[in-house]
Amino acid sequence: MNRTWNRLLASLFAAVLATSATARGQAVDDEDEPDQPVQQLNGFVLNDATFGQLAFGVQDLGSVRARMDSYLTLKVEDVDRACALTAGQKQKLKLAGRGDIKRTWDRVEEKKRKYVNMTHDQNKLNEIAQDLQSLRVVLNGDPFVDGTFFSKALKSTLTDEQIARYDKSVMDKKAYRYRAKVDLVVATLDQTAGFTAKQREQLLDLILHETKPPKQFGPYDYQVVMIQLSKIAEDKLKPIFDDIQWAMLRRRFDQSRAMEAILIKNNVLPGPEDAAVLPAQPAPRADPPAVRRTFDGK
Amino acid sequence: MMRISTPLAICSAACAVVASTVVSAQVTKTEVRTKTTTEEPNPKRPAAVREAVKTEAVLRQQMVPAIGLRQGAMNKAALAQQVTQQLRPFLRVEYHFIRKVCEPSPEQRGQIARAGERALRETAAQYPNGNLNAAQVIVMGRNGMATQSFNDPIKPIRDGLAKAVEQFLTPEQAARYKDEVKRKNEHWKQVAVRTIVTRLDQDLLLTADQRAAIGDSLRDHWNETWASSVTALVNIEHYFPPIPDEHIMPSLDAAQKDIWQALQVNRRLVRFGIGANRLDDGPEDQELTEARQAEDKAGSKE
Repeated sequence: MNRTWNRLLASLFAAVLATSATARGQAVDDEDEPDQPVQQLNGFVLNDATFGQLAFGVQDLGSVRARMDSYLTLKVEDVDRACALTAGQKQKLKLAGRGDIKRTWDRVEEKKRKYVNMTHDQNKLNEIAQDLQSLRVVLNGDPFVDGTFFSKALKSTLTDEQIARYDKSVMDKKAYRYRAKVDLVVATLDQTAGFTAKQREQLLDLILHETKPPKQFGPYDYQVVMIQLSKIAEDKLKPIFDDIQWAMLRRRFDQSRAMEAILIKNNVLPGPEDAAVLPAQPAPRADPPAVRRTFDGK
Repeated sequence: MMRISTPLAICSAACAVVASTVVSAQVTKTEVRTKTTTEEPNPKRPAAVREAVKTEAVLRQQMVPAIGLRQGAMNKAALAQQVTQQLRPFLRVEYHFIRKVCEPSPEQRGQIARAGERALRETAAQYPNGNLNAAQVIVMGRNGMATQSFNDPIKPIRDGLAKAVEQFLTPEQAARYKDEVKRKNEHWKQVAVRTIVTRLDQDLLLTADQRAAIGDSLRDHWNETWASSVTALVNIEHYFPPIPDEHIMPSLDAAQKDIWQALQVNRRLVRFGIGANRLDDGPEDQELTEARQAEDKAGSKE
């Protein structure tokens, strides 16, 4: 009975993990089975490892902290490469970054106090996973985005010229990353509907003109593209495809909308204030020329 | 009378079963589990009854393996059906792609559809346990230490259709198809390289020059197992393909190298399915329906 319960709980645990991240339903990890939540009467208890697995996808919380520290080092170097920082500026940025790490880690500790070594109702696992999702976004994305001490220190420490240089480098990076995600979405849909090269180019071009990068990059980038794509006006989108393709794609678009609430909750969907990669195109194109975008110079 | 009628009823049932399982002769012996208990004749019983009991025992011995054979065949058919259903959406997509690119005549469409249906069934037959996991793609850790298994169940279907394109379409139509497939493969490689570089950028904050240099290195030394499926790329957040360090490290600075090496500990052995559940079972072209029915008919005759 105990074994059966443990298996059920482990399956549920795995399912929650699978659905809490980017479309990873088919991944099966053969190597290290995560520690399973310990069964108690009418509930389960999370330990540090299972909490780490649920919050960050790794069992060792120390490695999460170490990763944030090393990311700060890289972040300061990244700014330095773009703007040639003085020693004093570097010091200020590092200090601000350490403040962000501490703040994030305080949140982790708070959640640990709430969940670790406590008995939870067996039906609450999904709810807990949802509550911890915001931590996962911080770790998998950039922990020093707008609103952090680091970003404020950038604005107050750098000269206008340095800021302009850094903004350009950030925009290039954003454009590259977003283009990669858009490419991946197009490739996925290609597998669903069998596009010609011309259709791929038209769809890619349309998405890049009509959608925006996520507010912050992270585990939901793919869904951010899909949801925006599903909302592009039909008179712009439909003419690219034939009827059979359109029928298949519409289903995919409808399915993608199921994620919208989660994306809103995690504040990753771009709003009117966010910049697009390319300006929107006003009219539908019945037979547009093949266009290849060259964000990365390729 | 009851004692005699029971074995008779069993006899007729067994005959029916035996007759109907002739077609199941290909089922291997290992799949058949028989119960071979026999009833010893009781000398106190009348001769007719003893004979009837003996007959029943013999028939029971014949019948049990026959039922086993039948169930084995039914299971096999059900499993083949299961795999066929999983793979069918891929056939639809590939067939529709050919229709779109080559604009075949109705007669050509029928020929391509029939070839595709055959390829689908032959592929499904390669998974007799009904489990496409046998075709899973193995993706290992970042340092490329481990070997990989790459067995794409969609490939034989594509190959079957490509062969049919060569066989039944004009050279001009076949050339168009080849060109589109080539461009599709190039696009896939481009998508994969960008996705991998983006993933590295996420961890290592690369400069534009570093992104370009690593991208070039990956393109120049491309290994298709690094991005074997859409699923593998969608999951790259969590599982990085086993790309040898020589294509990445030379472009990194000292701090990035340290972090990259530290990240090596997060090696994973991950299996990705073919992504069949990500395909919708969309509308089917008429020729495909006809081809399926024709193959069903041919199969039932055999």
